[in-house]
Amino acid sequence: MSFRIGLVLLVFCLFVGPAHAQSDTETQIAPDDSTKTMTWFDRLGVQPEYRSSFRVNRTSTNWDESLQLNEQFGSIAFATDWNVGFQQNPTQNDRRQQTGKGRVSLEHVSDTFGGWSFGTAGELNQRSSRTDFSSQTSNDSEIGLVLSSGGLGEALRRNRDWAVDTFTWDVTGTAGITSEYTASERRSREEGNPLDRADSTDASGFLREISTELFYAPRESWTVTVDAKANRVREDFKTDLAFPDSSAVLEGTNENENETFNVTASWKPSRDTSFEFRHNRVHDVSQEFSTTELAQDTRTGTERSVSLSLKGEPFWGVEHLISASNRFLDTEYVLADRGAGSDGYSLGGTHSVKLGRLWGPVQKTALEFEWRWGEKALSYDTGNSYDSETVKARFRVERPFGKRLVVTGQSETNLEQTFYEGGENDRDVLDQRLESNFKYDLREGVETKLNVFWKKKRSLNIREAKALANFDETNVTVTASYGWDLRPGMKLGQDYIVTAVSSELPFDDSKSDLARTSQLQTTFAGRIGERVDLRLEHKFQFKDSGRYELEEDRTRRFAKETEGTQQWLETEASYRVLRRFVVFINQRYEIRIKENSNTGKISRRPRTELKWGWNLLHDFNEEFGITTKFDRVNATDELSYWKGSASLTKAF
Amino acid sequence: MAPSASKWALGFGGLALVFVFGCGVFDTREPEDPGNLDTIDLSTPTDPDTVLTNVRRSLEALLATAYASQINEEFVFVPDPIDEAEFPVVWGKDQEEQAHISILTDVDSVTLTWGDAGEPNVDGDQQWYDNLPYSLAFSRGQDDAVFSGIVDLYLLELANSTFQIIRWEDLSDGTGAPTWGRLRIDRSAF
Repeated sequence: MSFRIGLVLLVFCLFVGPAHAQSDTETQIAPDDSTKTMTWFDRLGVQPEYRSSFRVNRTSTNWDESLQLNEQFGSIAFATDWNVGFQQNPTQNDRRQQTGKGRVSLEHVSDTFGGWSFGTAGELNQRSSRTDFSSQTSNDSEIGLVLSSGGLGEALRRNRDWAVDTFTWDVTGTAGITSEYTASERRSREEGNPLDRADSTDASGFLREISTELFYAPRESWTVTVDAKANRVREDFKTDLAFPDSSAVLEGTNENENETFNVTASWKPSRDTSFEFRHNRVHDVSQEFSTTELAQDTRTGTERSVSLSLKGEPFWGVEHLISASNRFLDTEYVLADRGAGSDGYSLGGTHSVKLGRLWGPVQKTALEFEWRWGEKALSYDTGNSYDSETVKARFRVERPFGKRLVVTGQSETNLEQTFYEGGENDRDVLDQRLESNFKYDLREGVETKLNVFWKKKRSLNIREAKALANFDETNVTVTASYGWDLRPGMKLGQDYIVTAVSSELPFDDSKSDLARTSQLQTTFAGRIGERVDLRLEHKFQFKDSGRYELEEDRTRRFAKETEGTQQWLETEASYRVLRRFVVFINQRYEIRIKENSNTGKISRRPRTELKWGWNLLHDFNEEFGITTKFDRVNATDELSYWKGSASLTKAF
Repeated sequence: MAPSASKWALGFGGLALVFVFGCGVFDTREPEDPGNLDTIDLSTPTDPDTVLTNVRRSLEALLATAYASQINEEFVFVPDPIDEAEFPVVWGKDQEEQAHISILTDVDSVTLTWGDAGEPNVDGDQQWYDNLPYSLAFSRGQDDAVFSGIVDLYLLELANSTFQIIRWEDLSDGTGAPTWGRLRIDRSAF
C-alpha cells in the first residue's frame, strides 16, 4: 500500500511545474525562460527547494521529505528547513517510526561594524517509534534570540592593518526557552497487551549559548582556525512512572552544559610539503531520566584529541605521510554503572617511491611501505578494563614487465595484543597475509589475471581457561580469470576460483577441519543494435567440508562431512528507452544440493526468480531532477516484493 | 636521483624492514596449556546454520572471543525501539565483543536456544533469518535470568565461502522478558 502511495506521489511530482522531455541523445536541456510560467513562488519572490525520497525493500518502506528556503529581503534574512520521515515494517512487530525536524530563523543583517545580525531562531524535533509491544517518543523545541557580530575581527583588522582574507573573528550569542517531552512504554504479549512498564518526562527551561569562530592566515602558507562554543540549559522536569501494580512521580531540575573547543593549524612551506595540527576538546554535563536506574542521572563526558600529520617529498623522490595522534575519552554517571574511559596513542606512516632510470633493470618498480603502532587503555565501570597494543606493517611492490605484464606483490602483518585486568581475557590476534597478482594482456582485447592469496589468522587466548578456544585459521585462494572483447559491445569472461579454509586448535589436534570451494563463473555480455543489452551469467560452485580425525598412530585422516553444489543461471535483457532510462527483465534459476556424508541425508533447494524493473536518472531541467530504480521480484521461495528507491529534487 | 643517494635509500629501507620483522614486534605471547579442559567444538561456518551453532556453543562455553569470531567487521546492531534511546549511535563489532566479555563474566552457565525460522532467505551474497526467535537463560549462583526476543539476522558470505553475522535487528517478543539487546546495554559501558 505504502509503495503505491509512493508511486502516485512521485508521478504527481513529475507533473507539477513546467518540464521538458528528455531527448534521446541529451540528458539536460537548458531551461527556456521564455516558456517558463510564473508560479506563486515567483510572484512572492522566493525559491524554495523540495526534496523527496522513497525506499522500499520487501515489507520495509521509508519516506523522507524536506523543504528548504533561504531568502534575503533587503536587510532581512529568512531561512527555514523542514524534514519529515516515515519508516514502516509490518513484519517486525509492526515497527513504525516517524521523525520530524523544523528550523526557522529571521534576522536583520548589516554590513557595518564588520558585519552583524540580530534576530530570532526556533527549532522543533519530533521522533516516535513503536512496535506492537513497545513505543518511544521524544519531542523537543527551542526558540530564542540570536545576536552575531564580526566587530571584534573588524577592530583587530583596523588596528593591525590586516585584510579581510587574513583575519576574521565572529561571535554569536543566543538566549531562549526550551521544552522537552519523552515517553517510553513496554507491553506484554498476554491478552489485551497489559502494560509492563511506562515512563514519561516533561521538562521546560532556559538556554544560553555563546560561540566564536576565528580565522587567521598571516601568510599564504599559514592558516589557523579556532572554534569555541559554550552553552547552558536549565530545565525543570517532572517524570511519571507506571508499572502494572504501582506508579511514582519524580520532580527536580536538570542542569546541562556543553563546552567545545577546536583548533586547526596548517603550514605548507613548499609545494610537496605540508604539516597539519588539530586539537579538539569537548566537555559536557547532562542530566536525564535513566530507564535502567529509574531515576534522574547525571552524565559527565570529556573528550580530548590531538593529531599531527606531515606530508612531504624531502629527497630521493620518496613520498612520506606520517601522522601521530592522541585521543582521550571519559564518561561518568552518578547513578548508572555505565561509565567508561579510553586513552589512546597512535603513530603511523606511509612511504612510497617509484624507482627511476638509474635503477637499471628494476626501474619503474613502485614500492610502498606502511607501518602503524597504537596503544590504548580502556576502563569500564562494569569491570573488564584492558590495555591494547596494535602494530601493523604492509609492504607492496608493483613492477611492469614490458607493456603487457604487471606483477604486484603485497605482504601485511597485523598484531593486536590485549591485556585485561586480572589477565583472564588476555588475547593476541596475529593476522598475516601474502598476495601476488599477475595481470597479462594476451593480445588486444584479451586480458588475463592470476591472483594467489594466503592468509593465516592466529587467535590466542593466553589464560588456560580460555585457551581452549584458540584457533589458527588458514585461507588459500587462487583466482584465474580472463576477459575477452569478442567485438565492440560483446564481452566474454570466466573466473575460476579455488579456496581452502582450514581451522586448527593448537591444544586439541583431534579437532581441526577443512572446507574447500571450487567455483567457475562465466559471463557473457552483448549489445544488439543501439538499445538492447543482453547478459548471461552462469556460476557453478562445489563445496565440501570435513574434519581431520586422529588415527591410532596419531596420523590424521580427512573425514568428509558435507558435500554440496550450487548452480546459478541468470539471464538479463535490458532496453534503453532513453539514454538514462532503462527497463529490464531478469530471470534467475539456482539450485543448492547438500549431502551430509554421515547421515546420507540430501537436501535440494531449487529457486527460481523473475525480476523486472526500471532505472531512470533524469534531469528535466536545472531545477527539477528525478532518480528512480525499482525491481519487482517474484521468487518461488518467498512472497513477491518490491525493492528500490526514488528521489526527486525540485527547486521552485 | 644520484646513485649514492639510491644506495642510501636502499640501505634505510632495508634497515627499516630488518627492524620491523627482526626485532620481534610481531611475536605473540605463549598461551597457557588448558590441559584436560574440553576444547570448544566450532566448525568452519560454511553455511548460516553452522554460524548459529557456533554462536550457541561459544556462549555456552562462556567464550566471548569465540562468539566474536562469528561476527563480521562491518557488524551493525539495531535495537528494539524501547532499548534504542540508551544505545550509542554506533554499535559495531568492538562494542558487541566488549559487551559479551562483560555478559559472560561471573556467570555459572548459559543456555541459548534458537527457535525455528525455517531456511534463511537469499539475496545476493547475504542470507538472512526472518523473525528468528531466541531465548538466552543465565544462571549465576541462586539467580536465574531469561532474555528472549526475535531477530532478523543477516549473514554475509565472504570471498572464501564462509559466513559471518553482519546485521542483527533485535525485537521484543512481547512476553515481557527483556531482549538480548537490553542485556547488551545493561552489561556494557561506553
